Amino acid sequence: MPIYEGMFLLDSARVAKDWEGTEALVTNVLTRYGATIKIKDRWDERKLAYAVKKQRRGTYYIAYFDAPPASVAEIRRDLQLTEGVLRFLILSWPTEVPVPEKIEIKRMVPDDDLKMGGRDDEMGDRRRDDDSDGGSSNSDSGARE
Amino acid sequence: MGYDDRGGGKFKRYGGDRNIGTGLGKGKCRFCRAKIAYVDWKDSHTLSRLSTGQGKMFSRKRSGNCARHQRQFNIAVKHARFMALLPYVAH
Repeated sequence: MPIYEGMFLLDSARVAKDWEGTEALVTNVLTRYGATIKIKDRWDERKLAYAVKKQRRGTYYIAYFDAPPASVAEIRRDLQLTEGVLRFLILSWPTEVPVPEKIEIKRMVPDDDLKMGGRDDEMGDRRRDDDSDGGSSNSDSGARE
Repeated sequence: MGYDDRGGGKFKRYGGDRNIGTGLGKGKCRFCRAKIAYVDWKDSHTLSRLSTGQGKMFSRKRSGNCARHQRQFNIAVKHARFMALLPYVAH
């Protein structure tokens, strides 16, 4: 059976009140449709980039599981109807990549390799605008001559 | 001959982070240098550093990514946006 990676965005208020119960919302759905959970953990509680179902904060929960492909559609349908799960994303995990042994998000690239240099900062947009302005005025003057 | 003498002009149009002359993974993209087989969409820190302040992805020219990793990066950003890890549009 293929391995799936699921990330579930849970309602933080609900998690604060009853963590086991909220976790069970997800794990019950998965196991009900014949999935075997390989590894699962709460990842992070953080501010969302934008409000989801009017919630500004959310708790991320990640699970890797084995499931028959046909049942994934059922799992998705069931999770859509589950209150407390704000949003979820289930992806098939690439077969050539080993399943992680622990839920932790590693930085893919070391920080000092992420420096983009001054010209790649937000200044870049302004500079591009300036360039296009300069280009057009040059061509105008060229036409007049 | 003249082409190479123009102070890195040959490489200038490839822009990005090719690190010409520093001897640091010359001509390789940063994901190749870190030997990443699968660009993880959950690492929002790295993805956001490869985006503008508004949340737009850097082009391959700006990010210096190779074709394969830029494709993976593109998909990763879209997954991360859906899960509210990254903004669709930042203000």
